[in-house]
Amino acid sequence: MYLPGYYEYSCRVKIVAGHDALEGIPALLRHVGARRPLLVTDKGVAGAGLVDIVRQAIGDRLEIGAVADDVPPDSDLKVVHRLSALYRENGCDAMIAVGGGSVMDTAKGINIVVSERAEDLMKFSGSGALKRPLKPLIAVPTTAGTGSEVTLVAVIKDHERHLKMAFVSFFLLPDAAILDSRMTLSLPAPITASTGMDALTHAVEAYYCLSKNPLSDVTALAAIRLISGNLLKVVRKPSDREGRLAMANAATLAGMAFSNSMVGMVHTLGHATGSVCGVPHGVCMAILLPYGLEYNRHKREVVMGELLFPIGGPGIYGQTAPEDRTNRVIAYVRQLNEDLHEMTGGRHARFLGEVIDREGNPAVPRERLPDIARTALGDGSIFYNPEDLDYDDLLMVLEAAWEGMPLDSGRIRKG
Amino acid sequence: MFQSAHTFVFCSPAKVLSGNRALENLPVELAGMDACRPLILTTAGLAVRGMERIMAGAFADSQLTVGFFTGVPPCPDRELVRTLYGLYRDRGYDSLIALGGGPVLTVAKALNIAVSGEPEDLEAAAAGTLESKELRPLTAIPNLDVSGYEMTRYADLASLSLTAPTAIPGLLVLDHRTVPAEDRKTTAAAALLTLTQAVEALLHPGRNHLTDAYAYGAARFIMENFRTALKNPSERGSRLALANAAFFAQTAFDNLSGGKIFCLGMAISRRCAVSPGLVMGLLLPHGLLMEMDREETPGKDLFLAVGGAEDYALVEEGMGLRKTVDRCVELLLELQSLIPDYPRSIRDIGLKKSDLEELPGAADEVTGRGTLALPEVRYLLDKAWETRF
Repeated sequence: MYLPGYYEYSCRVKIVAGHDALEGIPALLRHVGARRPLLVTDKGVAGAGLVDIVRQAIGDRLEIGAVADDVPPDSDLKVVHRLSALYRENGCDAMIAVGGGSVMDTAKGINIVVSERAEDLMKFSGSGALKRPLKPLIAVPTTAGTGSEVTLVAVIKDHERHLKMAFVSFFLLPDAAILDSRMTLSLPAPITASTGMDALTHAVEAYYCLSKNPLSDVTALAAIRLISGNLLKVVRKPSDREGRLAMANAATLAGMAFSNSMVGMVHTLGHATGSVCGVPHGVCMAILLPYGLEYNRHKREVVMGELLFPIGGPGIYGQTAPEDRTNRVIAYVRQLNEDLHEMTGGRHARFLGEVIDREGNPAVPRERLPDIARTALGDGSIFYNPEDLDYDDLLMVLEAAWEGMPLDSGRIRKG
Repeated sequence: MFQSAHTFVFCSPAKVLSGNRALENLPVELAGMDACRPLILTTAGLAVRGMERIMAGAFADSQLTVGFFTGVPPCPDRELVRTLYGLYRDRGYDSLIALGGGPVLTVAKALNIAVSGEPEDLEAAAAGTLESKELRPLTAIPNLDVSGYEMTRYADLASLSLTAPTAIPGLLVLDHRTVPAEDRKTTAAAALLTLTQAVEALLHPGRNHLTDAYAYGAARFIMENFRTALKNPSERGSRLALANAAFFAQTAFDNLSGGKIFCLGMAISRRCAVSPGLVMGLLLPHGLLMEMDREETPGKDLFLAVGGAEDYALVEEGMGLRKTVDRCVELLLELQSLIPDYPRSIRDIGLKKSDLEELPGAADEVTGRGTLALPEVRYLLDKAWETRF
């Protein structure tokens, strides 16, 4: 076990996980003195019937003050202010956020406004502006991937002023995360695949990047073990409740790991690809993860080799010579992408050139790679990557990832 | 709290700062919680060892006003909490820092319950019915003289057994300077108590992915660091690893409950006034052998935590528990060779044959829940009584 010279770790979110975890919401809220929550969600989640499942599980044991089901895919400052007013008008005293990253971010933003009795959320942007606990917030994730149910960050966009503001505070952590298999049973196979790879990337980067610590390590290892044992199973058989619950647990464990250790170049390039070309985050993570491993292996060979244990199990780990373990880890991730590609009828992309947009056009034209590389240079995660990256390095990785070719080890910087 | 057989609940509310100059970050953390006037509680022994000076140094550049109370005794009682309640209120403190393990954390938790509400709240905490409102900020800075309860909801204040999830310290600071080298027996006891909590968490029927992860981390840190911590006490990294392990194991323990080895060890320790970890170490191999007799042993991964991935990968299917027993016995023998008067049996710590009758019941009272199978506890006790390592 690795103990760094200094580390910090915090995840005070109560985790409630099970096939009927949703039924625990009324007691959880009563426990913290709340009786009338605002339910925050989006149209996709509501349309999939997930809000009905949540309401049914709550039954008449708790009165929902109001339902806000129009959170946009991209969090929005005006929406936060409008829903804060809805919260106040309906005499709410807590929130239940049902959804993915944008819903969680929006709920956290509303929580700042209503708890601080603020007129303008933006006064609380940055780190350390909050000094006291906010209203109770229960997070119910509907994908097994982002881990935002256990992160202390909210990103809210001011679309009018073209600003993207981050809010960072210990007090933004939800009071509880409810991991219930019913929330992901209807998730389509390609989204199950990409969100699962998102969680895998969180855990793998948390484990080999520079700010790893013992608690991010043990949660990352547990997440990887669950993902390697369950991702293909749930893509093959979406109704596998045990597999779905295992993946929900894995995503939360991975969220705990990466939010306390930071992530590296897979996220650096993934954020930039998402920003420049609008590619979903999980798709970027799946494609770029093997490249993060290849690019950094000369600095993290032993640490990466350790990942073969949760990935391959004790038999494969014991039979593989230490110097071959990282090769097998990288091969496993590539094979996982191949298997997911096949199982989703080709909808899980294996390389950037294969990603298509909603209209069926290439989502990442090759000529945009320089723009992505330039954008990536400004991403904060680049500082936590074991090996340095400049523009040329980023472009070299992007070109390989566009074609789906392994990196040329002779071209990798050896700092 | 609703909880079906298939649902688990896990919570670890503490933020941890561990390592070089972690103490220097404490003022910023307190300011972030709106605390500007902390009362530091510690023992006279730790104050003499220079801890008061180290703490004062950490706050020197801050705007915070710090108070000290250096009189926490080994067995604090309610009278002390009343006295400190008056001191806290009269001098306008707004938060607490517990510097030291065991009794310091006991007092700090009890005092925090009192000052965050009223002294009568201690009765509610003893009945397990304390309201779940936030308490004042409490920081724990434990050393290696651990009770196993520091980062848990439990505190035994003389005859008052408190249980309050909100009493778990919200901040944990582990700094080389506040985890000083202890005598070898104290360090060994800390390692064995922590290992017992980790092992029993990995065997617990209510275990989950998170308790497993924390217990795994605890067991690995103990097995990889106890030798260095004992042979070379000045090697600060090993001491800090043991202190981290204690936190991890206590978190797993807090989310599950004490097993029979922990509870019996605690009961014997109270009867004989000896460190609980030393007793638990003598019980551990027997407790594990009892698990081997079960048809279904939940601890498939136990040897992964105790032996590490390399050794686990080489162990034949079904032999993990046996190997874990072997490692625990090896550990005991190693401790005996390193520490001259290390007990080799529970007979060496002043236990009498006549005590055996009452001890299973006393062990069951440690959890206060009547969850232990008393015949099993008696069997474990008898086995330990008959054995000399």
